[in-house]
Amino acid sequence: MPVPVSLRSVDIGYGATAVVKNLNLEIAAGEFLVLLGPSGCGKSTLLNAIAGLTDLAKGEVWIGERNVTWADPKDRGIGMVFQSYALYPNMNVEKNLSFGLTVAGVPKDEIVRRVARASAILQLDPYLKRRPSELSGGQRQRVAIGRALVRDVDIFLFDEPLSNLDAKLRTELRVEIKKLHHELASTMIYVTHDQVEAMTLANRIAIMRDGVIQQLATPREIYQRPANLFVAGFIGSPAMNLLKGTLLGSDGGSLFRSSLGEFDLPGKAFPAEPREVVAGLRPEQIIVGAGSGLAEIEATISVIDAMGPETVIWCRARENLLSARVAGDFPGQVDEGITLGLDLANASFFDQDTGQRLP
Amino acid sequence: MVDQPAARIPASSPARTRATGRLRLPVAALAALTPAWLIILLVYLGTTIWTVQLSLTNSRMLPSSEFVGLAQYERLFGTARWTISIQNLLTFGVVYVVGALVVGFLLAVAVDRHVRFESMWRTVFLYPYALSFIVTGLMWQWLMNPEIGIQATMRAAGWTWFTFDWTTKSSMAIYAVALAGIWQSAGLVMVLMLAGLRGIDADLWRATRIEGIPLWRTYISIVLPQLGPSIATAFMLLTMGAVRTFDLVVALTNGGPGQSTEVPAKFIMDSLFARQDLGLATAGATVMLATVMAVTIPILYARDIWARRRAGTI
Amino acid sequence: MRDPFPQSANGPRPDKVTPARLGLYAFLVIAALFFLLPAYVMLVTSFKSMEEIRSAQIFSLPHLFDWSAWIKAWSSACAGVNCTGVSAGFWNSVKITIPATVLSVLLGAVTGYALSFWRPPGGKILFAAITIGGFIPLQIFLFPMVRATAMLGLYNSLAGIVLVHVVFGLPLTTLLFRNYYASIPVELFKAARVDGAGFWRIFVSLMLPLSLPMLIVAGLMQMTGIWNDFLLGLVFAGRDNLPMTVQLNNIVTTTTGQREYNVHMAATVLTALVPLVAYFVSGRWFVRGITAGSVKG
Ligand SMILES: Nc1ncnc2c1ncn2[C@@H]1O[C@H](COP(=O)(O)OP(=O)(O)O)[C@@H](O)[C@H]1O
Ligand SMILES: [Mg+2]
Repeated sequence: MPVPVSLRSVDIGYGATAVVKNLNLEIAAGEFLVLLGPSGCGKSTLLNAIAGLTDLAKGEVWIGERNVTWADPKDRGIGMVFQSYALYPNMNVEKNLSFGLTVAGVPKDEIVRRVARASAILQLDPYLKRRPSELSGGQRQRVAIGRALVRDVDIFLFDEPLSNLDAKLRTELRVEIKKLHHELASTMIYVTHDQVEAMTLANRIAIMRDGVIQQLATPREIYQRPANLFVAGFIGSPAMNLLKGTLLGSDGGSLFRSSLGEFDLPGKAFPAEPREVVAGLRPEQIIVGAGSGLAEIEATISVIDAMGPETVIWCRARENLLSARVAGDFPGQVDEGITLGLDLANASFFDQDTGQRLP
Repeated sequence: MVDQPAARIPASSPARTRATGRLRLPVAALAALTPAWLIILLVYLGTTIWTVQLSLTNSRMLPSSEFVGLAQYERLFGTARWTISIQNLLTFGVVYVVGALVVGFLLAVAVDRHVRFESMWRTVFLYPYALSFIVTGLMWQWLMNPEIGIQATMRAAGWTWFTFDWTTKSSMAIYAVALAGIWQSAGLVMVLMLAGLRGIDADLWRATRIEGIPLWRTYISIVLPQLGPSIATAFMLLTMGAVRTFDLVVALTNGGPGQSTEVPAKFIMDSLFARQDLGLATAGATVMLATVMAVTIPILYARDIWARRRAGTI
Repeated sequence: MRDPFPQSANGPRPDKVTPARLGLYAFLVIAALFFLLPAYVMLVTSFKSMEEIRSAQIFSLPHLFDWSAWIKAWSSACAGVNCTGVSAGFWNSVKITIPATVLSVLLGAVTGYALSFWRPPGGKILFAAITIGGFIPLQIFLFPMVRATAMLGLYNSLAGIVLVHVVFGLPLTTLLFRNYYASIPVELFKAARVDGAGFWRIFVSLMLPLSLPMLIVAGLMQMTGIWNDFLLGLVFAGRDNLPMTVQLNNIVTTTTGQREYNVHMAATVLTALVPLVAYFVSGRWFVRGITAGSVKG
């Protein structure tokens, strides 16, 4: 049965340095929550605190109906998978899976049943007698997941489980983890610095920076309506195009004035006083060719990145370099002049000083 | 023979051979290695052959060239003092090696538990290793001296039943040597084990906590098996030290009481210089060499394989 | 399914001072006493009068600190009929240790450098032989070495004992430097060769400065090892050059007159002083030397 997790006013630090300050996070039962952020922002620290591997300086951790702030990790009903796999190197796969259960005094037939189930789910049967050193990275990580699985827990914690794998295996295992979540419907908390993993796996993503959650929302919301400039820049590849300018509100709509010209924003109501802003446009919100009915500007193609199914072109317009997503068979040439249509109606606007999104 | 960092280009790599220019090896490189070659060939190899050869002749006070086969070895193993020395060495060796391994391991584990003043503890446990065996032996000789040592102090304080006079009892004297040896070498084991413990993945510790594996069980079932190379190294160094033990015995008991702490190394020294019996001395030295090689070469070999396997799989 | 959340999960932060933690510190304290007591006893006894020593309270501090045993130990304690204290041995040890340390470290550095970067023919065999050589018990070498040094006129001389230390120091120092050079990126060496530097030029201007840490470590290991040596000094140094350890043992085993334990202990402390100071000043390097050199004996 899935269980919710709740962090209430949590402070975590190492010695005197605070890594996480006054953090609140509610994770719904059965949710797949991804903690995403650059390396060193405190994701692992937070996950370890949920697991009980790091003490809180302040606040509470609740799992289900219980306050587990000071509970032993083994009593929290969690399983955890680590980046370095952390398999017991001197034991074979079967022993790796069963060791914790044996120590906990689980009856023998029950152990056999659980190991068989985990082994079947993760297709580990051919490797049961092998040691970790005789397995590939992907197999090792499956064993590590299996070790969490046999514990029959309601919450799974993953700390960058795919970071040590090569690109192909990473994709394969990502799909397996997603399937696993679908089958088990357990609560999963997953730490990564890889936005593709986050976007594909998550029900909701919590984007962290310096121990503070910047935005907690669904992948789509985070992509389309980033809460601030940090999130806007962190999510999306190529990154969101950012245009500095001034926003002037008026009755029927607003006006965006930038070095590329003045553009009307019909239907968008902003406060009347002029505001220094940054407009954010996803590459697919810049349309190539005249007649799109959008705010049009003239630009020159400076780089063409063919990626197979699609192509990204980088265009120079005054001092700005804008990226646009076009079809894979895009016919243009470098140094060619083109017309770009900016979909400002769907653009994001951020305050230049605070970096926060304007509604 | 030696652990190679994994990042190193393997010796067989063509890039390496080309770049280091095996073809144009300067004379200077050969000249620089001449002293090492001379030492190895003349001193290490030459004297070993000389000694082994002498042990097969009927040399007594002066070297002789008359070949007598294994007669000196028969004489050696017919000498009561030699066989007693070997028995003593076995007792001493087992107690000393096991004792130092156990104490050193416990110290390493304790120091590794995130204790306060970690480096202070380490310094205290290791300093005896900086002392010579002569100094170590003398210290313990005095501590176990029944007239002025711990025993006298405890009895003066009213604990009249207290005894700590191992060096004067032939049944206990060899354990006195072992105790002093453990005191001197436990720090060495601690340092080696600590290096091994620090090499264990932090995530592995986390995994055992998540699984609720008790600490003692973690150390025995998961940590200890991973310390194999460290233990092998420590075992080898300690065994070598035990076989070589000479100064410690000289300072602590000088072989006594009776012959209760005589050891082979001392037997050889005495045969060589006090009794001037070359045949016995060289036969004894050859036996010692064979023993040491029988212990070290397999361990060196095993460690080489470990190192290669690790470099190959990661 | 068993209850995954026992009641103990709730409630206030548990006490940090657990019985396990207390036991851990108790173990550390007891172990520290075991390791420190012998040195403590020796130090306090060296300041006591003989009368106080006979009163058998080895753990008590001296009634009054009396330096006379130290002075006697240093300058007039007798080894047999020779009453010069340990000072003569001290200076002998200095005269042996300094040249032997410098020479063996340099030899190890050159050998390790040549083996690791130049890959000369037979280099692997040489290195394997050196490694194994480090394990051969000294007793094997003694008689032939005595004869050989006598033939060279070096037996019982300062030069002789220095030479012997350099010869038997070769395995440790070579191993330390070879492994150290193995961790230096080979590209650095290649770049120097491309720039046209030769064997000695690369060694002196590039590798030697780079290996400063290992020079310290190897120097420290050799220095304490040679200072603490007893056997080689006993056999090869000769009566005029006996190192401090040998002289200390001679003083302590001299049986004429009553045993002056305070003098003996002062002499022992004096003998231990040099390696101890080296250890306390450079603890981290010492540890590094042990772990780096443990591949050998
Ligand atoms: N054991 C530790 N002691 C001190 N500081 C730590 C420790 N572990 C992590 N930190 C610091 O805490 C911050 C967050 O680390 P971490 O949670 O591992 O980041 P992430 O997993 O997001 O990369 C980093 O600045 C890191 O340097
Ligand atoms: Mg991390």
